[in-house]
Amino acid sequence: MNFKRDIPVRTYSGFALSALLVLTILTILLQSTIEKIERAGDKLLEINAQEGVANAVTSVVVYFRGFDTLGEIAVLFIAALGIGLMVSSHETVERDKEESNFILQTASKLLFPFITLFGIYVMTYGHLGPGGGFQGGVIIASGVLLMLISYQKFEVSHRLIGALETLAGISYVLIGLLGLWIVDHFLGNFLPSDISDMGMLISGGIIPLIYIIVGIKVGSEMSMIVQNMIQRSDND
Amino acid sequence: MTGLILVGTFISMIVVAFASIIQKSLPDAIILFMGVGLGSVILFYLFQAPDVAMTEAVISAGISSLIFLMALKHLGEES
Amino acid sequence: MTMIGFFFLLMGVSVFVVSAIGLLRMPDVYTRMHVGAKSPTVGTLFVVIGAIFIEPEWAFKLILLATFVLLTNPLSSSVIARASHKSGMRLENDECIDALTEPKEEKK
Repeated sequence: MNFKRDIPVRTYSGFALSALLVLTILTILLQSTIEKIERAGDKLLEINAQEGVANAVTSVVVYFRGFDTLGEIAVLFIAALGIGLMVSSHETVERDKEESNFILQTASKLLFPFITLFGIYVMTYGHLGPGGGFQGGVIIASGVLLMLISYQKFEVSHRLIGALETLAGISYVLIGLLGLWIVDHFLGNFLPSDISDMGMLISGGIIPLIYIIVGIKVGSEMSMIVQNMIQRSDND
Repeated sequence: MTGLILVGTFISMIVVAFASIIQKSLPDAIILFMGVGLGSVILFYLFQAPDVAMTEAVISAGISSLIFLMALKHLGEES
Repeated sequence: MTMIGFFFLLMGVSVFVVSAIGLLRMPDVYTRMHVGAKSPTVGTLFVVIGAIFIEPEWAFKLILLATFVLLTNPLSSSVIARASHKSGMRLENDECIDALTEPKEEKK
């Protein structure tokens, strides 16, 4: 592996531009006082107190930015599709490379259930502490990556991934439309969410539901990307 | 104190990013790019966004560097 | 209680300092990996023990953390060492016994 490259002149002009950007950001950082930052947060927390969600960030992400999350998932889906199209090959996949280390195989067999469990924990406790659908899905995908690296024969079935992904995508939109129908805005909270339940596992209305759906979708898409990249690079 | 750590992390991130651009060999540039990801994890945590820090840690250290390395292997010696 | 915790924290940090000095002093990849992987594991364990003494309520989570550090840190370092051996890094001192290459040469 010996990749060499030349540095073009325009890189240095890029340096000058980014130095300007750095100076601007530094001045903004040094000028902003703590009071200014707190003012924006207070309003969000005021609204959040009515929703009864322990983690304020998730209520912002799901209730106020729910439609954006749908867009983000769509972007991720398009990326997975593009990588799948770009690296797909018609010949049957045969990974006849040297098996990896015995230590790595044993340890990854031991660790994979724990990583998946941690991903599911992060997914389902997103409305109580730091975490959420994206994070949980990505953690599960990293577990799949570990298994793909250590076992040559390990494979996630395309059919299962396709079914999970379509199911998750459809149910996200359906829940959003149900909110539109019942509470008259997209992803409106139609499940009961009392403030007295705050901090319980089943609380916060539709947030846990949405996060589990997002987690399944992101996890399956990311594992597909990783699997495509690794299998293709083994073939050459 | 927190502000000092913040500015320090920010400056070190910029230095690592410049080193990653200047770097002659591409795998080394990818490793340095992971260093930029580490700095941004610390920044996100200091800005009290542990959610984003978690995602950034997994993505920058695991998945994006894997995709870069695999793409490099895929392109071969041509680049 | 808190004093014992701080004592353990200090021990962990001193192990980290020793490993950093070793990282600068060692001649080749494998010996550097030795100081860069093993002593941080011990240091992290000391720091975790100290944290348990300072905050006894967090004991369960911290023991879980220590278990995962014990599981993953040696694994990743062994994988990196194997990878560097495969990509042709040599030992500084060639007179050492290289156990990983010898069986393969016997097969040929």
